[in-house]
Amino acid sequence: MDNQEIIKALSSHAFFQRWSPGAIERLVEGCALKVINVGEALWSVGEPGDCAYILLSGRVERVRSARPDEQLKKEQFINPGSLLALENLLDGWPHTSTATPMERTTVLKLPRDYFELLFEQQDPVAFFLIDAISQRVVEQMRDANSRLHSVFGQPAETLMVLRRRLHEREQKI
Amino acid sequence: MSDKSEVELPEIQVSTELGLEETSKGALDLNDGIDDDEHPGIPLAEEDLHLGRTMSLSQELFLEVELLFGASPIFDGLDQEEIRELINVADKRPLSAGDVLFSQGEIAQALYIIQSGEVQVRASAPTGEDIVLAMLGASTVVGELALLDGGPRSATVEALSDCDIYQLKREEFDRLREAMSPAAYKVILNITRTVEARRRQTEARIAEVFEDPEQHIELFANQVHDMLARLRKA
Repeated sequence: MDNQEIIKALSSHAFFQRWSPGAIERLVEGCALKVINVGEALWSVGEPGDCAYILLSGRVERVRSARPDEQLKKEQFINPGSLLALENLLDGWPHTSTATPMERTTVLKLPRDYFELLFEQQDPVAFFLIDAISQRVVEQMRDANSRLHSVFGQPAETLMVLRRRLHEREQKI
Repeated sequence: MSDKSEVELPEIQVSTELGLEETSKGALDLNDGIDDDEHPGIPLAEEDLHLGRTMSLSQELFLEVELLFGASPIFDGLDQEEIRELINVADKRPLSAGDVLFSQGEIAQALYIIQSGEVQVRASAPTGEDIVLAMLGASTVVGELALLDGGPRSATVEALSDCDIYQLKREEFDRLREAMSPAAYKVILNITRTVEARRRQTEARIAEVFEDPEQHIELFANQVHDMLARLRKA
């Protein structure tokens, strides 16, 4: 995939539609192209996160467990231009999810160092990315708050889950 | 950040807004007690008209506000000019003990920086109980999510003593953001980092409860017991 094809793929995504071709080019310049196959992981839980990814082709599934019910939350990304692991641009926190390709997939790997360079240069590219990161982080914070609220605000339900969990552990032993 | 003591302070414009619903509990009008005729130097620059009346802030007071803003982690990485850009769109809002700064559920309109006094942060549990989450004092920031999104407040903040508070309204801040102000984006990035760190702490707190059920069963059993006792009394 050459740069022109990449720029064309990204331009089709709503997030990049307000970007000028020059801005997309500057973003792409600092990214590395990465091809991953089924059976490999783009990232796994616990790994340090030092970059975000932008989907160019293929399909990626992200899986994370959300307490208190331990349900696995699965999300699929299929649209070129989809942004993945954006919060890694903030800091090197470990991943709390796992992402795997559902088919041969191509992504752009955007290192945090490059994002920080763009930010220091006051490049609008960095500002657009910050808009997206902040929106995502707020959504995740509201979701976490809501779960915290249900755990500590509904003690009877939490007690039932804890007793069930304890019972399951005792049976295993 | 450059050494503030070496910089000559310019005359600064501070917006004052009258009659806004958010300030119905007694917002300080910085023009209070000042007769315009006696102060012909009070500028009403055209570019500031959308903010309402403006006035010069004494250099001493300005320096105080600048230090207050500069001490807050959400302004980390901002240089003096950038801090001034934000001070120019901030308002002072005094509170008396017992005044509510904002209530849980209401749409977030502003971020607040406490200059003096103490506030209590509390939230209502689904059971109806009020849970005190924190007590915050001078130099702390509260309600910072307002600058990221205008969603509902997750807690109520009430003044425990008389307080001096600066507010940075979302509407004003969004103007800077739309103009691609680096100062605004530095603040957004700082707040986003803080929110993400807090989210991770919240996730860890939830995980802790379920990873070690034995350790937490008694706590929740006691809460259920207390709830039932209250219901019986009622």
